Amino acid sequence: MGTLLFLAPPIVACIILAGILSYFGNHILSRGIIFIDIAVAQIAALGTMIGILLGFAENSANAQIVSYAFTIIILGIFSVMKVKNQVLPQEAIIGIFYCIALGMALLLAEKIPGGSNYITKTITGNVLWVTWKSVLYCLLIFIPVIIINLVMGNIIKKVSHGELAGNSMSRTRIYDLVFYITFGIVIVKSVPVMGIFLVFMLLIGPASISRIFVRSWTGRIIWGWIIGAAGSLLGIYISYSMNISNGPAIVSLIGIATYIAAFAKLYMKRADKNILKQINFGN
Amino acid sequence: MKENNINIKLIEYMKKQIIGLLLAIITIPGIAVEKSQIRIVCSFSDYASIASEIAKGYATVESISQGESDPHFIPPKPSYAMMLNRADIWITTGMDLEQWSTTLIDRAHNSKIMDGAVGFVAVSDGVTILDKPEKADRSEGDVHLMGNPHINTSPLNWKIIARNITVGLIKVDPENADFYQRNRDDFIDRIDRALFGDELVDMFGGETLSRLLLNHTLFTFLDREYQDKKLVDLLGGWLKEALPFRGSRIIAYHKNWAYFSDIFGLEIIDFIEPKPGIPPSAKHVQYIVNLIKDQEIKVMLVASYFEKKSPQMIEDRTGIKAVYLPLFVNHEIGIDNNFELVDYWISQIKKNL
Amino acid sequence: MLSIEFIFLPFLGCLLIVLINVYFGIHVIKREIIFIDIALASIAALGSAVGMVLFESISVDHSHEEHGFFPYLFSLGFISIASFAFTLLKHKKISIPLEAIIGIAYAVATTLTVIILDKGAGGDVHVHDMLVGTILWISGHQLTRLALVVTIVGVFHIIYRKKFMSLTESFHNHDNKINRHMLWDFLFYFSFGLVVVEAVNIAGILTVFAFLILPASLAVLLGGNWMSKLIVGWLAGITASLAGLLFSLKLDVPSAPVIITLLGIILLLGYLLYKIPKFRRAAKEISES
Repeated sequence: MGTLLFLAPPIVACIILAGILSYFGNHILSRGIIFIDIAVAQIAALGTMIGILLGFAENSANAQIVSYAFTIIILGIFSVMKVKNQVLPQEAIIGIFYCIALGMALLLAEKIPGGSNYITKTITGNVLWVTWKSVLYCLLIFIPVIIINLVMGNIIKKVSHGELAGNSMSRTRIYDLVFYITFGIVIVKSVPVMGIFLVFMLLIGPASISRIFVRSWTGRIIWGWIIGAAGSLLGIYISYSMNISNGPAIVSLIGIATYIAAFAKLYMKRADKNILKQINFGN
Repeated sequence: MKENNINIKLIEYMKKQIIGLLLAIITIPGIAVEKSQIRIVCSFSDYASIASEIAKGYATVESISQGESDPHFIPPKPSYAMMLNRADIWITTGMDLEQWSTTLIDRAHNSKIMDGAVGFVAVSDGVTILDKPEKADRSEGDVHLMGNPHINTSPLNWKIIARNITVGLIKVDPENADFYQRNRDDFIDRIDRALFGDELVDMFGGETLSRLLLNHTLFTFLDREYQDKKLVDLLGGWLKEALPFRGSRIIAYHKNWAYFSDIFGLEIIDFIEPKPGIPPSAKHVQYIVNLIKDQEIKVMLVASYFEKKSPQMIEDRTGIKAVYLPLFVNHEIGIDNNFELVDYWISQIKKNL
Repeated sequence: MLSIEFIFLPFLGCLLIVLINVYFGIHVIKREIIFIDIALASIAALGSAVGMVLFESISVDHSHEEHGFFPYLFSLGFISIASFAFTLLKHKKISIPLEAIIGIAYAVATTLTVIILDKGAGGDVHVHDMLVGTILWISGHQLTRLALVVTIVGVFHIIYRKKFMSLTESFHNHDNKINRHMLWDFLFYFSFGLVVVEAVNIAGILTVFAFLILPASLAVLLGGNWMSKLIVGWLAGITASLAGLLFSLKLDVPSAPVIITLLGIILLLGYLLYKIPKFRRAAKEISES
């Protein structure tokens, strides 16, 4: 019982994040910009480094504001760059941003004590240390994000599926901007808490699994949530009982599950498809 | 008239001689300074500081890793290879801490400083190594097979480091052996006095006291009576400063502080991240949280090159106080030599315990 | 002069990587599997770690030059398995982009490596080394290996270039010529994996990724046929490498970030210039001649 109490905040954090990331993850998969969250995390880290260089203390509110501002500006540029007949896929543009951000971070890393901590691979985090206060702050930031996305959800969904192509680019860009900014905020808030790989996996993994089997949009989001939450719980349990590093345990678990799901789908015979039909709800 | 002429000529001649003599006198020191300086390159700033104390003006000393850097990670700057290429002496720990140095030394193409050559100084030679793993393989998960390499945290080890550096200097520059040995003895004496205080050093000599300290029998020894007070009342220096927290239990983020805690009497009960780069498991985290609560541990030592996010989360979760300490001498924050470093460590720990 | 001799070997290394990566980069952008090289590098690292742990051939000296034989074999083995998986999972039944599969492989490989090194050791050191690389310290031995691999893979791709190009052009179509495609897809990923393993060991993941994406992006933006794209990419890559190495010497900073910054600048400048109709027309004329 004591263990459960002790693990309660991390478990709740994982469940909340599994939900919100499943939503965003489905959009990301539709848009085909898989690595955007790793890019955002690195850009945010670069922003923090800039804040520190500007003279703000390492974990001060000011440095965080610089970080958020910088991230939002870059995301703004990114969403504006979408054109009708794009030669370069958006994922390539993300790759370019990520690459340059990482390069800049490396250059600046020497000027800052402990600079090597802002470089992607070392953005570790351990959700196990999270406190109720932290969870509360996350919720506070996520609630406006959730509201915005609920209100604009349908339109953003259409944009993600490229269905607004007929309309003017500037309208799609505005919705894109809203999407990316709310997304960016979620990522910047959650990566220091959970570490970059856990956020990445919760974003892509469960959404992928549900997308393989489930057809309806809402269904995918809900199943993604369930799978993400279950995966986190199972991962924490394994980390506990087998004394394995926590984050890696969850990430590997969900990742391997995704591969199993993918291969299962590949080799499934037609007869099994009826079972699938029963899982799909909605249209 | 003739006498005046002769006098004038004589004076002119004298003037020339005197000027010549003066010039000669002025240039002699110049000739002495032109003797080329020895180029020493160290892996860490601590060793550089000690080397400067011994070689003084006879050598230029540089270090590759600076103050707040992670000792495991060195950005590959071109100047490092060039520094090493011109170096006469390379000073390194000599255990497996500076793994980045092998490629660097290879690239430097300098046979004088390769392992085994005259200019290679491994300062850990002769240090009593702590945390030596019992098994020869890595199944215990320990990063460092040869034991704990963070030897710079104990002033006793500085003495051995100084001796090793002196040996290296004498091999490269035997003419000035006396000069180096004198500086070394000076330095060692200063360490003793900083550690134990003048009175005890004058009475028993630094060597005896150091041996007792190393064998953990110093305080039993100091418990003896002397002229109606105990010997321990005569204790001065760092050990006296550290008395208030002697025997306290603390946690450390990583195994950087073994040698320091050994002589200053801190009991490090456990580590947050014993294996660098590998975050702890749920079991370990729960264990630590309970440990901190049960034993009322107040302080967690964190070397300042670690990122602050995780220690802060631990602070929030358990109420423990994270004390960030620079692991090495760092001019940027005003810590110019090893003495000031230990001063800082002790004052910070005292403040928080 | 110490400086010039100093960057000669590193420049040759960059040259080799630029030559092969621009080619693969154009493929990779078309197929939209941008992060494949980072994924392959992690998978290779996982294979290495498994090999090391299984055969306990962990030496105290972590010099990357000494690829133990078994770790290398294992890294190749893991790359083949991954290539196989990537080939199979590009299928119309799987409604997620291949990039997602690759991304998941990347995350799993990295975290599994952490877990395995938990039993081994030296985890942190390797992570950092692989990111930035040590191209400035490249040795003749490493250069020879790189040249060998680049030549073998390069010649292979020159001979079969039509095959690979047509595969890439039709990558996003879902037609059913499954069996014939599979072999060549597999060979694509595997041959690329071979290159990635060598290149990353020398130059680090970041530089290799930059050489893969940045020059090729410029090439794709400027358009034209394959040959002109390759030339644009190569020019950009070689210029950035040379200037980058020189600047890194002058400013005394690690070379990787400098080269990347220069690649970025060249990309930006090239793109802006292209927007100006005058230049575009001139470029078209040159490429058509």
